[in-house]
Amino acid sequence: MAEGATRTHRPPVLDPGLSLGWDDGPLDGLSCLLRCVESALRAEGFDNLEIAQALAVPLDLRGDRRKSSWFRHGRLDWRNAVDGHEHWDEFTALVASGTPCVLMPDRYYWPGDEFEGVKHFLDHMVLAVAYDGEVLEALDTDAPPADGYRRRIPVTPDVIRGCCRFATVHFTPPRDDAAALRATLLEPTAVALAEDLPALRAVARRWRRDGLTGPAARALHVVVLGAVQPSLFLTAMAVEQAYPALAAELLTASRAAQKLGRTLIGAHRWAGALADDTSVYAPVLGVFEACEAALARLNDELHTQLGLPASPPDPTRDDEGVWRRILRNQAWCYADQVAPADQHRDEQVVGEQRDEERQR
Amino acid sequence: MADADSTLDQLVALLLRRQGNPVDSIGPDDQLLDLAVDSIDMAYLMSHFERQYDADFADEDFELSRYVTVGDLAKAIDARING
Repeated sequence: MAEGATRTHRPPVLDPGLSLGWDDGPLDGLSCLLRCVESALRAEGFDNLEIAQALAVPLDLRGDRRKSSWFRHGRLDWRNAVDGHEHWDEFTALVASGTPCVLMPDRYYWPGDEFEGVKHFLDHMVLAVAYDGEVLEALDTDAPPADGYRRRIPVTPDVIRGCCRFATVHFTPPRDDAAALRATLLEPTAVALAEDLPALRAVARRWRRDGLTGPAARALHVVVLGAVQPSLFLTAMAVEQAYPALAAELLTASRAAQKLGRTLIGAHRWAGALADDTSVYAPVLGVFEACEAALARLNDELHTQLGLPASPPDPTRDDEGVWRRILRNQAWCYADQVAPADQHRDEQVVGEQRDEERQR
Repeated sequence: MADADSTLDQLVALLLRRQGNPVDSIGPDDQLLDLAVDSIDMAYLMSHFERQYDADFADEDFELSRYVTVGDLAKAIDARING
C-alpha cells in the first residue's frame, strides 16, 4: 500500500493501454510479477514514471547484491508455506477487504494449468483482487485478453493448498532526481555489469561445451524475463528524462534480453516439460550470444557516458556467479523439494528466496 | 545452403514436432494462424534456421504478420539463407 500522499484509488486492472511497454504482450518489458505490482501501484494512484522509478533496480546478473523483495522505494512482504491452508484465512481476508495480493500458486494444484497434477512448478504470479467465499478472482497475464486478463477460480481444497506463496505490496511514491538516479541506478548497474560480464561469458562457454537441458533453460528464461529484461527496461523508463541517451542504450539491451527469453520459451514447446535433449536449445545459443554482446555494449556506454573508469581485470573474479544463479532458479522453480504432494507443510522448509526467482 | 523444397521440408518437420501442434500433416498452403503458430514460435523457428545455416535474419523477419502460409515463411527463410 502506498505510503504518503493522498491518491485516487481505483480497482486494479491489467490494461495494455495503461501499462508500461506493453505492445505485443504482457511480457514486453516487465515480468508477470511486475505486471501484478504495476497494477497494484496504478490502482493506488501511481503514474507510469512513478511506477518505473518505484520498480527499477540496478541490473544484477549474478543476483546476489540486493536484499530479497526490496526495491529502491518499497518492498513486497511475502508469506510462504508449503500448504496454502496455513495462511488461507489471512490471504482471503486481505483480498476480500480490497488489498490486492500477488499470488504465486503451485501449478500442480492450479486449475487448467499445463502442470496441474503433473509437476510442482512455481514460476508464475497473478494478482488476487477479489474473493467472495466461493470464487477467487485474479488478474493473470496468461488469461485471455477478451476476459480482461481476469480469471475467476472456484475455490477447492486443491486451490487452497496451491496458494502457498503470496505477497502484499508496500511502496512509497518515488521522488528521484537525476543525481539520485545516477547514484542508485546507473552507477550500480555499470559497476555490477562490468563485474558480471565474465560470468555471463562463462555461461556461454558452458552452453557451447555441455549444451543446455530443459530445466536449466527454464531457469534461464526465468532469470532473463523475470529480472534482466525488467531491470533494463524499467531503468530505461526511470532515467528517460534525465539521461535520454543512456535510456536508449538500456532499451536496446532490454530488447535483446526479451528476444532471448521469448526464444527460450519457444524452445520449451519443442522440448517438453522435462526435456534433457540439449539439442533443442542449441539454436538459442546464438540469441544468448547476441544478448551478451548487447550487454557488453551497454557496459561500454554506461562507463563512457557516466565518465566512470574502466574496471581493471580482477584475477579473483567469480566466473560462476551467473551459472549459480541459474541453478538456484532451477531448484526454486522445480519445487518438488518445496511442495511434495504427499507431505505437509511442516516437513519442509521453504528455502532461501530471491526476487528474481519470483519474477518470471 | 538449402533449396526451397528442403527449407519447406525442414520447416514442416519442425512444425510437426512442436508440442500442441493440432494437425497430422502440414502443407505449404496451410495458414500459420490455423496451425496456432504465434510470435513465440516464430522466435524459435527463425533462430533454428539462423543457427543451422549461420545466417543473420533481420528483426522484421521474425514478425509473424509478414507471413500467411507455411510456404510464405519457407520462401522467406530460403531467401535469407541463400541471399
